[in-house]
Amino acid sequence: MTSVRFKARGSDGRVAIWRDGSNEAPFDDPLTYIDRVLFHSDLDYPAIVSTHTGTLSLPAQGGRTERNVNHTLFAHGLDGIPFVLGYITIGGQRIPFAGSIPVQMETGGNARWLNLGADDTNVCIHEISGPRGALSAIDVDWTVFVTDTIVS
Amino acid sequence: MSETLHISSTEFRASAGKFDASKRYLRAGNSGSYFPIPHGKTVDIFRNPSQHWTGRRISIRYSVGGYVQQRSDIDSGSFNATITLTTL
Repeated sequence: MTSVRFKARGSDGRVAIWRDGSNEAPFDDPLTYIDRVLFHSDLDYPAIVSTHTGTLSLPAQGGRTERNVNHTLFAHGLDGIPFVLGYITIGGQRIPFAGSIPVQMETGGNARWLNLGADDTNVCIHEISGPRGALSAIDVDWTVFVTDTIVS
Repeated sequence: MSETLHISSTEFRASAGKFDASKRYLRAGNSGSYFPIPHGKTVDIFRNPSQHWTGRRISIRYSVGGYVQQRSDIDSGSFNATITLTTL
């Protein structure tokens, strides 16, 4: 069985937990031995400070028109721009905001795209769409996690 | 000097709160977990040279954990980004 080792060093506040405790290499150099590191105080661990849910109602869109709309979801109440995570739910399936998500797509490949982001004040979903044919209205359920990591 | 380690019957903190058991962190979950994180690309721009000339137009396919949006009038490939489910 692979051992797990825990070490805390009071002189500099460094704390680590790592696999294969045969040596202290992950304690001294966590990035080089990251595959063995379970926790290391030199690394960042974004904590979720709040969870928010809602429904974004997007209107029907005519063909050969463009939409470039920033939808404010809520005010995050933090100083700076927080790192946020989230997903939408369509047809009972959860789809992560990893880049932009097409929530509707025409036969020819033109889509309505959504992307999650934040500014100094608000968390937003940005919508961009330019279909050749009309798109129907759609309601999109969203869930967003705000972390304590400030990115700017 | 900042706190290195704090353990009590209800609290666990390490390295001045860098890890704090009272906070919520994303961690690997199981099939009942709800926040998916995809592996690799989520969108593919696809062009199939074996199709006739109209079919060789560029297509697009978004596919994550089985959720698919793609151009459907020509072949758009078959890739799918797998996911890891996480929980809080």
